[in-house]
Amino acid sequence: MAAPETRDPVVEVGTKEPTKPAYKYVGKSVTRIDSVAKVTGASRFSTDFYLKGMLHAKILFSDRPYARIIDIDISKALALPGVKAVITGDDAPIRRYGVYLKDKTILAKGEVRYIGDRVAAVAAVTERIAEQAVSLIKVRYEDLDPLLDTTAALKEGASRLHPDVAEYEAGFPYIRYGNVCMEAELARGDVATAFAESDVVLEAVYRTGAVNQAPIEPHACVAGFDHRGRLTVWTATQQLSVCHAELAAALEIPMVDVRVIPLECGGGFGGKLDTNLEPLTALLAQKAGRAVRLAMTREEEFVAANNRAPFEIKIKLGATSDGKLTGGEVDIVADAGAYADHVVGTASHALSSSEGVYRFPSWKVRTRAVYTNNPDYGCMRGYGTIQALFALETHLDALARKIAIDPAELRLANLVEDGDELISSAALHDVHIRETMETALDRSGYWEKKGSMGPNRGIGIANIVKTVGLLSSSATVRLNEDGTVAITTAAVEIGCGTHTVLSQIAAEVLDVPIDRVSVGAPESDSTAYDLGSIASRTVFDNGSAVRLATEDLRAKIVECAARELGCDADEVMITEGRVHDVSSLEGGMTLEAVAGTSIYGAEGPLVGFGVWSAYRHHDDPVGGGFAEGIYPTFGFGTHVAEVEIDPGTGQVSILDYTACHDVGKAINPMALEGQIEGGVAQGLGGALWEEMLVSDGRILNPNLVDYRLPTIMDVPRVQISLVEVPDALGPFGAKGIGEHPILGPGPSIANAIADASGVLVNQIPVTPERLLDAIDASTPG
Amino acid sequence: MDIELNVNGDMLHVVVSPGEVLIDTLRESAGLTGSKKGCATGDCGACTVLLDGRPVTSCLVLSVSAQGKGVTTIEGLADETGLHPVQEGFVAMGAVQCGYCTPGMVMMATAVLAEQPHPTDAQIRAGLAGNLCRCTGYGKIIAAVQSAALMMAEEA
Amino acid sequence: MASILEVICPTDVDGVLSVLGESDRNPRVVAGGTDLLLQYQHWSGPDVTIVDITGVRSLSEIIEEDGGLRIGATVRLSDIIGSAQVAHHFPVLIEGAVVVAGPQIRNLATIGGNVCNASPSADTVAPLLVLDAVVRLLSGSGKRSVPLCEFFAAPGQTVLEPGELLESIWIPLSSPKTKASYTKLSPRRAMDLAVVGVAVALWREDSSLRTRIGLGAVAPTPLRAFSAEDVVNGAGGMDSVLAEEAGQEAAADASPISDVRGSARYRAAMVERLVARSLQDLGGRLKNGNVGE
Repeated sequence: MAAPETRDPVVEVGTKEPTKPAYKYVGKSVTRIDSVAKVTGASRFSTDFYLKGMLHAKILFSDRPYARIIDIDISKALALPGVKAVITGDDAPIRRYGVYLKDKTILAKGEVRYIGDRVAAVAAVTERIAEQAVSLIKVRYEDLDPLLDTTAALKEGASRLHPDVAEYEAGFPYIRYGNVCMEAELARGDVATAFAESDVVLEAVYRTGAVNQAPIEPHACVAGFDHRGRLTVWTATQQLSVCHAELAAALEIPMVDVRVIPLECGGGFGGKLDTNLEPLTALLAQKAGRAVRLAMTREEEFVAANNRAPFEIKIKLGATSDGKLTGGEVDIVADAGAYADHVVGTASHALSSSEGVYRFPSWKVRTRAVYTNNPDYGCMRGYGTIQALFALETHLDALARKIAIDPAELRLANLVEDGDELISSAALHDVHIRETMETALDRSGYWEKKGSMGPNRGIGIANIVKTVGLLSSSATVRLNEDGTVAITTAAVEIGCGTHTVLSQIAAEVLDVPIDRVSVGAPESDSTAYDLGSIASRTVFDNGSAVRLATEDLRAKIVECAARELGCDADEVMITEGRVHDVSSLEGGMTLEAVAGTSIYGAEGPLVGFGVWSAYRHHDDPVGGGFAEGIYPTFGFGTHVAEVEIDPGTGQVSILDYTACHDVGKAINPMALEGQIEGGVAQGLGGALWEEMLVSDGRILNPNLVDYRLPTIMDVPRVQISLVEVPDALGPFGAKGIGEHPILGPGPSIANAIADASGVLVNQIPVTPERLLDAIDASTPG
Repeated sequence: MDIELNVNGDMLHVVVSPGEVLIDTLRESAGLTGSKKGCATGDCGACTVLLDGRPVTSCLVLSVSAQGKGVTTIEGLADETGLHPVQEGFVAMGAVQCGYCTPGMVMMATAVLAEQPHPTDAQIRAGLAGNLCRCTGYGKIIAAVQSAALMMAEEA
Repeated sequence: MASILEVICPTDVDGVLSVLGESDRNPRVVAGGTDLLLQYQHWSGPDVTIVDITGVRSLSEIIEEDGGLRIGATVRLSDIIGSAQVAHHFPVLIEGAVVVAGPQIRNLATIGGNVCNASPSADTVAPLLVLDAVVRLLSGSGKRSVPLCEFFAAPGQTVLEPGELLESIWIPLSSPKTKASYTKLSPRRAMDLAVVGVAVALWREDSSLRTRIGLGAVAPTPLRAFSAEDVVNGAGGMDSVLAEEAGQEAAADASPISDVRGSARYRAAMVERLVARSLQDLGGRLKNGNVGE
């Protein structure tokens, strides 16, 4: 159903000459197709899935950062009544797996490399017995000297956590040596000369904390083998196809013998794209001969999941005294933790997004992902860009202060434009940063407020750019016997409203009511490859696949109907689910009649296929394996934060927050606003409150008291404005919005705090204590 | 232990261990998986149910101690005439994303409105302070509760 | 791993005391359970018998008696927040209760539990300290009263003897002109534990100032900052110099540790600032009488 317009009045759509075709379903705040199930408790999440007679698993995690396993005594655990299987590294396949770099085994073999490495696992008739059994497993370790930060790991002569790093299989080739599991360097122009010719050159180091994705649903999965030995796994994943392939590879069995059924996913944010629990659970199920359920506790969510890696970024920028940027040099070091996982990707993404939205005549950037004995980091919403933009956007403010120019003026004077090429060689198109910036400055009242907010108050800006779309997607759309339309695709709904938006796209293409369109639950047996619900890509890539599939179906419907109606295909159109001659709304055929004609006639069932690859739109994908050239488009945005600080306690209050995003076309404005509001809230968390505190390799705050997710008391109302100029490639002109909103709060808040206090804190989160220390350090005497 | 619980108006006979908490009994013995377990330590609010009308985190209530009290879970909120206004508000205002916090959030919101039929935004914030949501940023949740308050005022 | 062997739900005080007398059952009193149940779920000590005292009606009352207000051990924090009597006599206690965790927890957690849990950061305790509260204890062999400031022995430990039950907390009615406040410093605005908690009561006796200052999260137990109080007691009026001097003394009274919530240095500095701020603020309110309240 098309909901009544319930849009927030602060939202303003459209600022530039967009062609505005009259869409019926696209651009409408349709209520979500899954929301009734979710408000009644009927939705079945991964944690809600139980099979009769299944066993419950618990993992024994390493309690030391780096050690050699001398031996493991499982005899007492096995003897405990109710225990059905115990596995250790000896039960795990030798072959290593991993998304970018195949560097890990399902259970630790020989060595443990972090507090949380998996040493053994138990399956028992109850979770409590499994927990007891785990406590009965005795492991003898020989402790090794751990590498507790990247500096120690990069030191010459440091012990090597993965001596075979150069020989490990990698998804594509890149430089690896010592404890560096990925290194890359890109340059344009002559930075040294640019600096020499600059009036001002400023250098600083910025740090971003380890952040937990913290979906409210902890990870859980169930695995079982049928009588023929075929594995079925029920789980929550952002990437069905990737989970399917990774799971098969980790277990060394063909993909046809593995079936993955995604259940409702209670939040992802990058936390549910590592195939983390599924191989282990399957291994236990194999050993026990029964289905096994593994569910993480909240503490395990911190200790044993792949959280956003902390980065240290050294940045040096040059400018002329009248505010022209001349060049920059950036050195990025990411703490990968014990295994590479997605940190290879986030470190490379930080490299390619290091210039932000600015024209730098010369640029030089190096990135390294470094193994340590810290937690096994991964990725989170914002994927490397969030770290890079924090460094760049806060440093720009520092530079602006140094040359005594307004930070907004500095930015406006150096923005990228259509046709500019990024350091990754990606050529920009559909650039709307100037529009988002002007809109955000206007809506926030920046020019009036700047400098006149009174003591302890400040205002800060951040400009945002993030890739949209990645790799490929597929969908089928079929006409049911009764004329309703069914979409099948591997894109999972992780909460963003993806499936609702896909149904809007299909409804628009076919001109059928939305309640006549279904989106099937994805599963590996019936849906073809799709990269998944990551990378701000579902609306853009999967939406494109659904659009293509529906257009294919539409053509087949039209052809079939034209023959029946005795006219040419181009004389037939579909209106409100009725196929008729263009000249008249009367007569024609219902879709039900078309379905009947085709199914019971020579034509056969009408099914549309859509295959989409972002690669298609680039003749020459480049990037030294980092393949940034494959990103089909970019989304832009500008955030403005206003804060008040308490210089006595270091506490920060957010007074106002403005977010303007370039979205191409808002297919479902209400869902899109939800993405912006939620992304801003998560970004504020990382800016002010959230940080995993790690000491000697141990997480000190693995709980939701001391790891502080923003509550409803902490998140301000967000003023949203949209710039809607249709993108050349996206479905109905839509870009993606999944990650962009999280990128603004770190730098905009840090800049606002600096404006209020005169002190730049070069580390997020800006905790009260860090702010106070910075203020104290800047006070003479 | 054999105990009897009044859940959503039904008397349920369940076997529990003495230390078992209500969220586990509801989910695993009663099959009512609508209430979610997000932390098991009272810090997220996803397991919120009403106990004699008062919202509590069911991960911190012994099932044994819930005997003789009325337990209302998310499954007991909608009736044969349709969704509860709070549920309708969450649907209409786009306050649901992944949906995992939603049952606890909805239960808490009904309690807020029972106490404050015409709440200010600040009162809604104070009332929902114990329910974490990681998806929405809370803006649409506040709008949903306000919209539910309007619906309930019209019905009354 | 040990477990909860049994849960007993007595309906009167005698029933509670008789189970508490059976030490071989290892009885543990639980009221709201918001802290204790978590401890017993991962308990490595011997098996325990839980004595759920929330069914004992006499423990859940708020009654004026003996020139004070008696708050039963199982009075929930949400009931304290909603109590007209508490609001009338001791609004500072509500300031403390309302910032504990979230509403659902406050519907379970009890005042007796918040006190007996003996957490250094308990938000109701610093206000109770400045209200000069007394805890009333019962056991099979009789009853006794202990001033709250002498009740805490160590983190998580009180002077409660085995077999003893905290029956109620009694607060003497103070001069209606007493001004008091509780300031909780925490990064988030809800669901946090205090990095520092500061309660201050300030009133006049004859023509000179009197104060009580209670501190949370800055020592092994909640404590009174007696030497800071000495700075203020007897002074003629409050000003910034006096307030800051008292703040410095309060910081010296504290012995904070560094942990995930804050460093010792930061905590000491915050005690100093928040005590000084509270004194100045209350001094101003005293001067202005009840205007605007």
